[in-house]
Amino acid sequence: MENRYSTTGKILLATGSIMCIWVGAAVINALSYMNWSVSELIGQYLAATGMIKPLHTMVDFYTHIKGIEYLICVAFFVAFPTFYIYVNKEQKKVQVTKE
Amino acid sequence: MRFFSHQRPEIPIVDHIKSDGTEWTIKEKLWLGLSASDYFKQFFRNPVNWLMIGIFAVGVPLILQRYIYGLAAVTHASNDYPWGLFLGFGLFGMVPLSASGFMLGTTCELFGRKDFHPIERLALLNGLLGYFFAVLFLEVDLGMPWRLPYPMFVSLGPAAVLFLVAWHVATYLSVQIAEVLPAFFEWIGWLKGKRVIRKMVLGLTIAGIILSTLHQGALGALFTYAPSKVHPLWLSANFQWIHFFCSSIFAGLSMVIVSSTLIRNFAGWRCDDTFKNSLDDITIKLGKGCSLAMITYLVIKIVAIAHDQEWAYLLTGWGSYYLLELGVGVVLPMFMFATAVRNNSATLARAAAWITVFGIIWNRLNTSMITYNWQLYPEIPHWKEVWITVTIYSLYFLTYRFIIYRLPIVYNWKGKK
Repeated sequence: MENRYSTTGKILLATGSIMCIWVGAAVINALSYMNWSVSELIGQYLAATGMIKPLHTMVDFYTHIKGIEYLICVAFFVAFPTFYIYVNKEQKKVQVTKE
Repeated sequence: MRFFSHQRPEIPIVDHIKSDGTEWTIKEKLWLGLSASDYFKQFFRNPVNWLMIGIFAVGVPLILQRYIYGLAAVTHASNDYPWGLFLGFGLFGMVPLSASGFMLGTTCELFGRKDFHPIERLALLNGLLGYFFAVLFLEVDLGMPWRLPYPMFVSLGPAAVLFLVAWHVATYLSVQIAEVLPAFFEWIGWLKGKRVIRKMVLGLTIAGIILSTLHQGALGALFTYAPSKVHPLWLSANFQWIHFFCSSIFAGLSMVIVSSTLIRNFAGWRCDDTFKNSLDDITIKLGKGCSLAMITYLVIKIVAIAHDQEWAYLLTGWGSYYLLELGVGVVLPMFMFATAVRNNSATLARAAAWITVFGIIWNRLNTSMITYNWQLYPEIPHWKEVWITVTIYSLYFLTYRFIIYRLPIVYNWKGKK
């Protein structure tokens, strides 16, 4: 049983490593195309994913910005309670007994 | 003072009655129970006082020059840059740091959190002096103090944000004076006055909340006067008021942490045991409030970027500067406060408070001066403008210290109260 888990772990590790190498190579390649400008690369990415695009009507503009704002708000509804729990969770005190 | 308090048991003064049974006079209380020669001896032994003398020796003539020859003699103010350090630092920077008054007033008087009581008066005083000196900075900028009643009574402009700010600051300043008066009445021994104020304390606290929340936001709304001048990342017409209001919450709390730390370290002789023993616990609790206010502020900032569709600006040089300000001024102290609370570390909370105060001043200077006219030439303040700003801030420091040394702010009055 233990052996099987370790084999699964090894497969996951190998797959993850290959993906990391692939992503790393893709980013480095993209950066070299952009003359090593990180902001230019992010700009191209945002344009490609529709975050930055020309909006021609008021309805389009509001649909776009409101969609993103609602996503941020939903994320905040998860992030705030998580952060609240994180802040309020006191570290366990380590008991030290004198010999 | 530590030397004299070791020599004479009745110093520092905490009671109306001396050890020989007679009463302290007001004059003796003002001299901290020392003779004039002893008072000046301890005054000149303190190197900070020599620094103050140096600052004032240059600063006072410069202020006179400003009033005689006008703003142009001491600043680089122009039609392009009408707001310099007097307003950028003095008004927009000091007002959020003074939000402590209504924060702690509400916590103690409305929410009944008596565990914050030892620091309540310090928070109120911090608020009062911050507002008072913000008005003083404004007066140095405007130059004609005798015209102060004009926007409020003579030439009314009810549609203007400035009209709102003027009335809010004036009424809130009055409320804060009333809130600090009980400490003064205890000190002079006029208990009837204290009783009258105590009866009004609930009304004063509620008035304080209404007025300060409104005008902290109104200071942000002032920037909507110049929508094409301030960089879009620092100006959001819809959210500017809530950026200013929300950031004032952690700014005020952090400023109380900073001032209480300085008082405990450099005026420890004046603090009583209740103040000293509860300070670490209170600091951590204030830090918890700061961290929660900061995450809220951070999200509102991101929502504002989304609302104005300004993602592309983040990829520019100004965008990097904006992210640096948010990272150093908000995200870093937010996690420092959270870690401080989790590990019960008051020292870490204090470090985070210092960074937060720096971050708030940085944000206000960025909004009012550095990113102002970002498409034009940058304005470098005149050295005289910097010196006058430091001089007035030194006067703020001296007034703060004068009151802390005397009134029962960080100690409990032991006489009739």
